[in-house]
Amino acid sequence: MSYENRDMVDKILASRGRLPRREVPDSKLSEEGGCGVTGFIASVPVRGRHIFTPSVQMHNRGNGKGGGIAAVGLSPQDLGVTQDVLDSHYLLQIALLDPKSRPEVESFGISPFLDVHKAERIPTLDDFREIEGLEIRPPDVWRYFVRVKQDALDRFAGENGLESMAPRKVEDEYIYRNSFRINQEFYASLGEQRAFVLSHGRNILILKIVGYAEQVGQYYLLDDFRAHGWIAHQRYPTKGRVWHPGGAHPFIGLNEALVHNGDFANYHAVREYLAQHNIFPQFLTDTEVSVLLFDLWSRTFGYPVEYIIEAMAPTTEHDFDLLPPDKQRIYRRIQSGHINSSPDGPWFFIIARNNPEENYFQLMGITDTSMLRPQVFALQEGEVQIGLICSEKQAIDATLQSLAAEDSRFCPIADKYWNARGGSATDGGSFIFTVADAGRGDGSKQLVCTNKFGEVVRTPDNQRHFKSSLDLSTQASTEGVSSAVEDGLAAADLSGLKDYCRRSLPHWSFASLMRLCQELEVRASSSDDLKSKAIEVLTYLNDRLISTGGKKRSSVLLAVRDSLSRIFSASPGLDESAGGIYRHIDWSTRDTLRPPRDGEGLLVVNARGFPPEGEECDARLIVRAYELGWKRFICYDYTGQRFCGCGLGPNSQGVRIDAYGSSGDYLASGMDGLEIIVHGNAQDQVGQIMKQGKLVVYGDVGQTFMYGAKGGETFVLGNAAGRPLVNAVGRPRVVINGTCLDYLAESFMAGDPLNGGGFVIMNGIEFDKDGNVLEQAMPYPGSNLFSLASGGAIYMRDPYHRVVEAQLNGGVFADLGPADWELILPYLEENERLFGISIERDLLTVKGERKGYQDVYRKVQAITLAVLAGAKPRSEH
Amino acid sequence: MSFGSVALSVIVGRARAARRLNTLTCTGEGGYPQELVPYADNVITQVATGLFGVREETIQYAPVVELKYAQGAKPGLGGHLLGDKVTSAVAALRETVVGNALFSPFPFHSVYSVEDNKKHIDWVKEMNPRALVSVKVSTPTDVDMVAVGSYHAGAHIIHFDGSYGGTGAAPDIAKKNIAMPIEYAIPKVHRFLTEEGVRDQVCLIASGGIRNAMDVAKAIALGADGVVIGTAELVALECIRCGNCESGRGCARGIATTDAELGCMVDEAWAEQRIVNMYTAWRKQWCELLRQYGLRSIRELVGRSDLLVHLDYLEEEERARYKSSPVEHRVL
Ligand code: SF4
Repeated sequence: MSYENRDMVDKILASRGRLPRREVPDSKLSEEGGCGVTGFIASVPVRGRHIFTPSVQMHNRGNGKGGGIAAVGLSPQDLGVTQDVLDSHYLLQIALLDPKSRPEVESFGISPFLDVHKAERIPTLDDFREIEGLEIRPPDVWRYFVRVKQDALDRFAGENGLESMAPRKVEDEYIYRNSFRINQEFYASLGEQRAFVLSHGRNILILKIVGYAEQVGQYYLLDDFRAHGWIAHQRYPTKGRVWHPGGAHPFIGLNEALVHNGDFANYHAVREYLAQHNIFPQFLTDTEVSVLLFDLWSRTFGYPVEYIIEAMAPTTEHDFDLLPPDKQRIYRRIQSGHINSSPDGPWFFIIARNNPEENYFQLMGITDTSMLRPQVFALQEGEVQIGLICSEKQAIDATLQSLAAEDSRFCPIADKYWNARGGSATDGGSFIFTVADAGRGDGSKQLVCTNKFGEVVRTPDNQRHFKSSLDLSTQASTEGVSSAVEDGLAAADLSGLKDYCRRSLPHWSFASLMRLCQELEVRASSSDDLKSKAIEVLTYLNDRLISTGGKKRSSVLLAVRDSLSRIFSASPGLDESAGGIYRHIDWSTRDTLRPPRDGEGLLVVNARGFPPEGEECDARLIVRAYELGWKRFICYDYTGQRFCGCGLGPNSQGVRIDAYGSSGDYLASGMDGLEIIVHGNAQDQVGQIMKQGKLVVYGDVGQTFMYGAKGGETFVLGNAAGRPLVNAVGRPRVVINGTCLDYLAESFMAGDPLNGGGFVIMNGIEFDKDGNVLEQAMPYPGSNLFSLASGGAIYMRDPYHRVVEAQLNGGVFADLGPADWELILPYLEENERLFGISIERDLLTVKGERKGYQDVYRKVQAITLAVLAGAKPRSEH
Repeated sequence: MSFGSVALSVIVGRARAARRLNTLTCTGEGGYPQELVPYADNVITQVATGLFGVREETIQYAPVVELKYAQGAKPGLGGHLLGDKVTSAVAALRETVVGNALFSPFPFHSVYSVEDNKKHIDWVKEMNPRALVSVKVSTPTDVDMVAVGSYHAGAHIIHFDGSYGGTGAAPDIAKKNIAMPIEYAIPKVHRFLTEEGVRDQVCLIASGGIRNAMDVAKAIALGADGVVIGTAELVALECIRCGNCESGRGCARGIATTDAELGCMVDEAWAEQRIVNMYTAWRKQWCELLRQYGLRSIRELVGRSDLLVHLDYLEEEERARYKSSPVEHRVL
């Protein structure tokens, strides 16, 4: 901030202090828990209806007492104004809790100072009771397109010494304060609450109700309303009766809308900090103070986004050490200046914003340094681009499915899914999707994804996206596929056919791929043997990260998964008289469950439609089926249903569950004997308290993986998010081929690995788009590895010794001897069998050279810590 | 009071007493010793942040599963079991390393919000649908919000653990300074849940510093449905409140110990009988009290704070009119 700016900042802040305001309580109005947040932004405007399904699927993250939606990058036609008006005018939306208050609101806060280009009551359903479950009538919302009258603006600038400030900035400040005045007069938290400003930015709007987020869209008729970016929020306030949506998210800054999942431990401190800058909250929630912070840092102080993120989620520990010196210098200054105001506690923000000066829209997600809230990012590129940020992957998939059903330029599967690492030197815990003019001269827009440091995140280029409109029958070149399938399935061993697929896939057109699927489907219907084989081949294509050539991997997966789903759903129902081992059950036929009869052995469960939890959920159905004698399960079409494989009780050896689709949280948590194979990414809280059995994940796993686990064998193809294996004891044996965000194996207590205890093998590798194994930049990027551990070991593939002592808190590097290698080798062999990651070619080969295991793997083991072995804990002295 | 912090014979003795009295006892966070399985119908499985010894099986044994989020004696602090107490038997049950202190983190790594809490409760219900789910929390100033949040998350029982409880192992500074006293917390929650219209749909249990029959009656009159007694039971087993519980061999009565020799001082049958004696004596006092008020069941006492007076707030002469409890009692 230059001195000139500083002077201006001081003037702005000082003059804000002169705004009249009422006393409001200095505590939060209501505690609230985590919530469901979802947001996306696309290079083309999309309809509001696409926020519907993801919102519904996240009902269990809210309680129907607060739902809200924000949209940015709107369509002038839908608003009945010209593009010019949309760009230049402030879109003031006022919720009238008391419908009769409008004349007063207008004469108090609008007509004397603002030129109104257009004013309307935004359309709604005639009767809110048409929406099932909506109990409280949403407020009438009036929308005004306004500019500040010149004389009012001049007076304002003169009174506050802002004459030298850019006129637009003065006008921004005017609008901001005018809304503050309106809220003070008609809302201020203790007074009589009659009206409040929902939003007042340019080309951005907010709506909220007492209900669920998707009901906002239903009530205010947003189904066909178009916008580039959308965010939705399901709130979980713990206070019982809520009569108006003032406390619901999103909250507005000026041109940004923020939703938040989590809560602050230092609300009071943040408030104090804001008060020192003459900023006073009126809605008394964490979310409001968050957006006030953001607005202060962004609009008033003029911080670049990177510094705002640093002020919110500081870079600490080892990550700080990894920053370049000049960055360290700046960050240190930022941290010391904002230590009191950094939100403390679990939080995750999604912010949608418009930058009218530089003409772009943004969607950003920021996670706290400790990564305590769930978060998933996704990106899809191609003819159109879309970036998504959600609490759960299934909400991302639901959004994409909804979009793809309407517009074939979207694919139901994203090209890339990932988690951010809070306060890190690698991505800064934040990703930003920016939609700006594509520079093609036709007004079309382009989306770019960057991290906190401005580094661009890309998906493989030169790959094509599959469109279902392609005519397949005319493709003669697919003939070869048919005979290869014929021969391949006839062979006793499927490796020939799999090999053929792996080799051919890069060169195949989509038509050839479809042909393969069709051929397999046709044969699958003729016998159980061929069906099993077809499933195996398609599952291979689904699971393995093999090259897809010029085709987008997401499109290939879509074709393969659809084909698998068709094969699964073709299995006869339990009430049909048919032979064979496969039987099918879904939500509509759930009452037909019965014990397996002669020859039957595999229950195929379509999870779609089952509630995600509760007595009626699919996980309970599996438990009942198991009690009736079923042992093999294929569960598919998951849309986030939780608890798969839980509840079977001890010693469930011999049971196997194959899970396809977006499986949900707590999968395999409690499992004690059975085997679960997840054909895709797994979510949060997977494998908690797991005791025995085998879990294989062909993808990534989420937060707190195997928390408190006692044993079992686990193989993960990709990465783990934060806090895997915390408090694990006994003998868990785990291979993670990627890495994890942080806090791996905190308080690990799994005995002596060489004497039956547990361990984690972390390979730190990833795959490129051609299916080659690459080393990740850091085998372990986090600052905390094996903290307070008292047993077990970590075997880390780290040929360049990139992991340093400073990352260990309670562990030491130890010699890795033949006994260690003998111990882990069988697990690496199984890993090779499952994922095709070769010990010789991939793991032990470094830069083309075959190395000894001692040169590639490092062992971290526990040391006896005084704090652990002592008679008194330090905390008492 | 889990395996690892008190002797096995004490744990089993308490379970046997619970069976005879038709009430419940809790595993604490140290896992589920096999010796408790015969009494499973009277044993609550606790799921605490360390998840020690918690398996699907132990959750399925239980009629009530308690999710321990915090403990009034040390809210905001995790649990700890000092290295000395981690004998081979303790380490075996918890599957950890002998001689190394055991830390339970705070809070649950998987639960940072009400909605996570709901998911956590749903998980327990999925594994054991017949169990009642109890949520054990401390008494922060917004304890009423915590209660209503837990109710909406699907908990059947809300267990408030106020300050002043805890064995000698809880740090003094934590015991006396962090949480709200239970006598403030109970009416606050009772009233709030009543206003919210959900009081009769959830069971409120209080604990923390409840020492005798009259304390129990007061807690109930303030609005609790029931209470959890810890230390008083130990006193019934001749605990002398010396405060040495945390060290491995310091317990003069062989109660708070995992030492094989010291543990022999308490015998299961004796412990059972002593605890039964204590509660039967308390029962007499309660019956007398109910008779005086003309109540037919202790349930009718719930929330009758109109029957209580706060002696400190009364003038001298007025105070003299109240007899101090326990009331003089006759054999009924
Ligand atoms: S006698 Fe002392 S050491 Fe033993 S339980 Fe009682 S207070 Fe603890």
